[in-house]
Amino acid sequence: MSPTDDKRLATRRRAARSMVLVCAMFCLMVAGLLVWEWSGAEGADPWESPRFQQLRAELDRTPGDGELRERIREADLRLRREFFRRQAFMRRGGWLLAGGVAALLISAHVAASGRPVKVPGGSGDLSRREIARRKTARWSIGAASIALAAAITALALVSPDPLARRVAPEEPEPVAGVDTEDEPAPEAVEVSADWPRFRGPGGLGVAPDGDFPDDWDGESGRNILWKSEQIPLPGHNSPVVAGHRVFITGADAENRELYCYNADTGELLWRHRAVNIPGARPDAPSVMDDTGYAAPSPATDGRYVVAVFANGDVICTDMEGERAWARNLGPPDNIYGHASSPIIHGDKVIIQYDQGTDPEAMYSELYGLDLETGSVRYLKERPVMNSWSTPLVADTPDGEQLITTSSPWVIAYDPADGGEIWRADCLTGDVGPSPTYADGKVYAVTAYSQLSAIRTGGEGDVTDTHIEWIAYDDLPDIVSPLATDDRIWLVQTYGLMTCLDAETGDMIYEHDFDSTVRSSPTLVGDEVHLLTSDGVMHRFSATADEYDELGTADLSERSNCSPAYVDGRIYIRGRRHLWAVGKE
Amino acid sequence: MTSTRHAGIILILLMLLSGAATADLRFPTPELDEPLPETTTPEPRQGIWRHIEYVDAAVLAGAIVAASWFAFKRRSRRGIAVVMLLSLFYFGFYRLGCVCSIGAVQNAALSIGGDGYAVSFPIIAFLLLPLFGTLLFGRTFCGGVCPLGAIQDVVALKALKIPRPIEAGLSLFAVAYLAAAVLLAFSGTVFLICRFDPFVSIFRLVPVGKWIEQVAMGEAGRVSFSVAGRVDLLILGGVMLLVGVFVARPYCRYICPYSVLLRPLSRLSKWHVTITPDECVQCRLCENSCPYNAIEAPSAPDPGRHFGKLGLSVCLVLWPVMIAAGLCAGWLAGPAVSRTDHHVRLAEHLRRADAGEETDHDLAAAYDRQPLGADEIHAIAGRVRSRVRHGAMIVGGFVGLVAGMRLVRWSVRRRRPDYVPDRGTCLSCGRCFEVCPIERKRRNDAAASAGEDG
Amino acid sequence: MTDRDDKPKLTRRELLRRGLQAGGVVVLAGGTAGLISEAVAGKGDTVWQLDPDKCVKCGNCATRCVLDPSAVKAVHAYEICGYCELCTGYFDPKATELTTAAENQLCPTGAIVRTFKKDPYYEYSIDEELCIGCGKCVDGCERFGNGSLFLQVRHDRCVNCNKCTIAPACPADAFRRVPADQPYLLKTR
Repeated sequence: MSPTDDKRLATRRRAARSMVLVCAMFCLMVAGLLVWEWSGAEGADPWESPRFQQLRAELDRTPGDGELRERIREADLRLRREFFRRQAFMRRGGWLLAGGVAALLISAHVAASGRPVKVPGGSGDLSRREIARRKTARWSIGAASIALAAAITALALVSPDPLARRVAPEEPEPVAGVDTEDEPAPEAVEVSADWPRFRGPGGLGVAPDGDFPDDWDGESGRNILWKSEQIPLPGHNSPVVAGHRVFITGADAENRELYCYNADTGELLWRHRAVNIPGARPDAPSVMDDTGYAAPSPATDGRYVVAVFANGDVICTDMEGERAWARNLGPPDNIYGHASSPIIHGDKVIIQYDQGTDPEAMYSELYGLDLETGSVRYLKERPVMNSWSTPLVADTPDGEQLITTSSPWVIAYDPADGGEIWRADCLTGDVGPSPTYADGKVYAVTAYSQLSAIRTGGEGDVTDTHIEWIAYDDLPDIVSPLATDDRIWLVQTYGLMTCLDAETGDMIYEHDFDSTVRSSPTLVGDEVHLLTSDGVMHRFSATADEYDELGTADLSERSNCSPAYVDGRIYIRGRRHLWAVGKE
Repeated sequence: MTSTRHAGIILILLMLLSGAATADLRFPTPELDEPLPETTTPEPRQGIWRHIEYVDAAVLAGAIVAASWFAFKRRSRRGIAVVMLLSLFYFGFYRLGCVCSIGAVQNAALSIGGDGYAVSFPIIAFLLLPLFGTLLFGRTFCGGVCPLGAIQDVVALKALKIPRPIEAGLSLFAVAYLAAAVLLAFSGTVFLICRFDPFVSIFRLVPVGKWIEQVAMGEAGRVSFSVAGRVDLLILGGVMLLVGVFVARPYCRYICPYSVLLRPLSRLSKWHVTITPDECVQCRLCENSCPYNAIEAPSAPDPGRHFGKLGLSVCLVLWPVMIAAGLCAGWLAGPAVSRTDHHVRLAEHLRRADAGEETDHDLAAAYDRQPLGADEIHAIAGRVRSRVRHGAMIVGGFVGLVAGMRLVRWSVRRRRPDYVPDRGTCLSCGRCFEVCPIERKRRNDAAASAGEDG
Repeated sequence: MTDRDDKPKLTRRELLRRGLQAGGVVVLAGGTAGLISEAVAGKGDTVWQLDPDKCVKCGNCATRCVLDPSAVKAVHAYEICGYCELCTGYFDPKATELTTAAENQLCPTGAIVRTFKKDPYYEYSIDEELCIGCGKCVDGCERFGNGSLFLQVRHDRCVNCNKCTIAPACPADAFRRVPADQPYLLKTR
């Protein structure tokens, strides 16, 4: 090699070495920026930012706040821009980094080229070295083996293995109501409840006679007899009343409770927790917020109170909160969460337990449970899908009929033994509103589908014979209809009410309350009372041919529940409190 | 590959399904004045890319032949390096590192494991071509074709010498890795090798392949992604490459599960590269040229018949002990490994729920959506657990067997008169050719004779 | 390996080597034959897809894919869509009004386009460039609607990893290999 060659080579290597430095700095910078951007991401999507979540939570508390909405929209725009900018940056950064590393490698190879090979030093005593080498190798293999074995053992020991746990042998399911032998049975005196179930006596939404106040106000306390402490757990169920006791339930994903309030003072007399129930699953079912974990209202006959919860728990206590029995009906397969309330008929608790989305699968059931023991008196499979309506026992000219509604069938059963009397194919989709009954006609309705007026008295499939008329417009999806002998009122969740002629199904008038409504209307004397979700009670004439508002009263608390009317008092469950309205 | 026939079958199935679907929609689809849009279904590969796996297999075969030709016929490090860079670009950056021969081991295990998956021809080619190639030529695949090796090869700038006795222990991890990967793939759950492949995310740092395809199809810019989505693995790859600057090809030497198969095949190979084209003059120049420390010096003169007898007998006694230890470790690890199985996870969820413990919400949802009852799930989980436990014992015993075998091999004397590459660890990269004085002389002679001929 | 001074030893060693070599060939050939018989019985090339009927919308698809954004996206089966005005895949359950404002939407990237069709029907389509595959809309649609929105691996993006990285992370075991010429598992009527 000539000296000039040598020189040229040395210059090239020097240049390559500085290039290596530059490229290394560049790569470090790009890699640093990429890691910085990556670690700066607040979540897998733009809205996982805690600040944004906080804004949304604030909006849930104050839904009307316009300024807050503006802030959310700004934050959303900023976060989404940031999110997609970050993605683009990572994409470009990848190319930059790859380019930088390529340049770095090329220059490093140039800088290293032509390096002379080092000649190894002396080797000493070859035999001794050989022996030492083998020894080291054996120790090395041994150490690696021990390390592997130790790692595997550690892995096995730290990872919990629930399947290896010894399982306690399945306890035989205790016979429901085991305690009844020790305890004196409740007196079988003639007792009756005042507002025994969801929508009152018979489930018809008709208040018994009473001197109910017209003019009351939650804010000032005018004609407010009492307002309870905050209800411990939330629930969308409505109060039931018996013997100066008001019952409601509350639940969240973990806890389920039945509450008893003193009807005269609003004091919480007792609460009963639904725990230690055989067969209950600890994991809560998934429910819609609008349904919650305690949508079914309790039912009472003045001796017992029965409550049902979203996970299938059924509890029955006496008036003092002592448990009579409890059982679990199995986790309901119900897309919004179970909502149908239990009813008490004579000595039976009747529960419409509709499940699944395939009517043919016969997942849905009708339970007739013994009120005193909880044992099954009858259990009927139903060819229907899941539903949210509460059945009623209609007092028809042909005797008592248990009316159930769930797509696709309206089915009437004999409440005594669960025998089917008639059925009509007139429902589609999700049945939210409960049926009602007036003047020999059952009214069954589903949103987006149809309202059918079905004459009772038939047998078998009455679809073609007993449907008197059908209405298609402005049908409710949550609120149950109210019917009198000649009128029927339908209220949509978005506040539009229509009043139809019970003879023909033709519309008489309509009225927009301009507020959401989830509470069902009640007939009080010749007035209709309807509580809108913002807590305003509207009173209007039940006989006028147009909407004739007689007055309003404001609870000052939002409410989605149907009030109970007893002895001149109105019991209303607000979002957080239980109220008693009555003349002072 | 008769896609029209399949499309026909799909159509018939769809018609059957739509006829059978009796469940009403919650909200009926309205009658609109216009036809409803269809769900779009972009095809996986289009045009000439439809059967690119077969092209991949052909490229692989060609690359192995080319690398071997450069190693044996041309004895050219430069040629091998060019093949290596080309296949790094093709298999790594263009084909994004999937499928590779290393991962194909798992496909074979899964196929044999038999849960309905059957390995496809291109994947068989990926698995077996390098094995056959190695049986013929030694590990020319590793040195000149494997993209994972290539990316480490280009960064190996300051290779330090790791003493061979230390390596003997370190390379045992590759055996354990292969065993674990085959076990998991066989049970049909995780592909361990793919899951922790440190380089595939580097190949995907720049999606050259997708970009080329899009440009070729005239769809450039239609689909945009992506830095490798797994930054954790990208960091692992970066660290591995940084280590690779000083320890040449650390993945290949101590981790690569495929090397466990290639090493013994290379030992048995029909031909293998030699450092010198002719007789070794023991100049020792090559001793430091190998970045993988695969060149073995001539052995010491015979130290006598009883040399190392004690060590050997200790190792022979230890051998069965190590196999037993492997069996025990496998038995212990069985349940933990079986937890990768879906039904075992469901069964654990059920057991936890029964005990009233907190469980995973998603698993609960998954349980509700599947048709099996709790008893059936527990039965399936029980079968899986016992199967996995037996499998874990087998692979644990295998690791013990190999470890013991290595102990014995390091206790048996072998004679080497010259400087030779260790056939197991030599990657046939050709770096040693360059420094051998005999080789240089050969080249000069060849160049001279070529000059004369010209 | 060659030992020119020690002829008998050479033969013994060489014999052993030859034997092992032949053994290697036999093992490899056997393996080849076995695998080929597997492949012949198999369905050929496969790609990854997720079964919407098993999917539990856990959100792993958005985060576990090797790509960013994920190759899994929400797709829409229009023929089972109710074209609802109140689409529970589009609107947050707490939405107070049915407008496209951010506070009412469910999609964190605003990837669902809502178009008025005729009173009271709206069409919902997905802008795939924006969709990150989180499955929030799928959950909303399936919980309270027809379930016409669902997740699918989009094969114009998927790089077809040997083992999909989402598959082992899927709590519902919904990912599976499907024949490459039938690459989608769509929801239909």
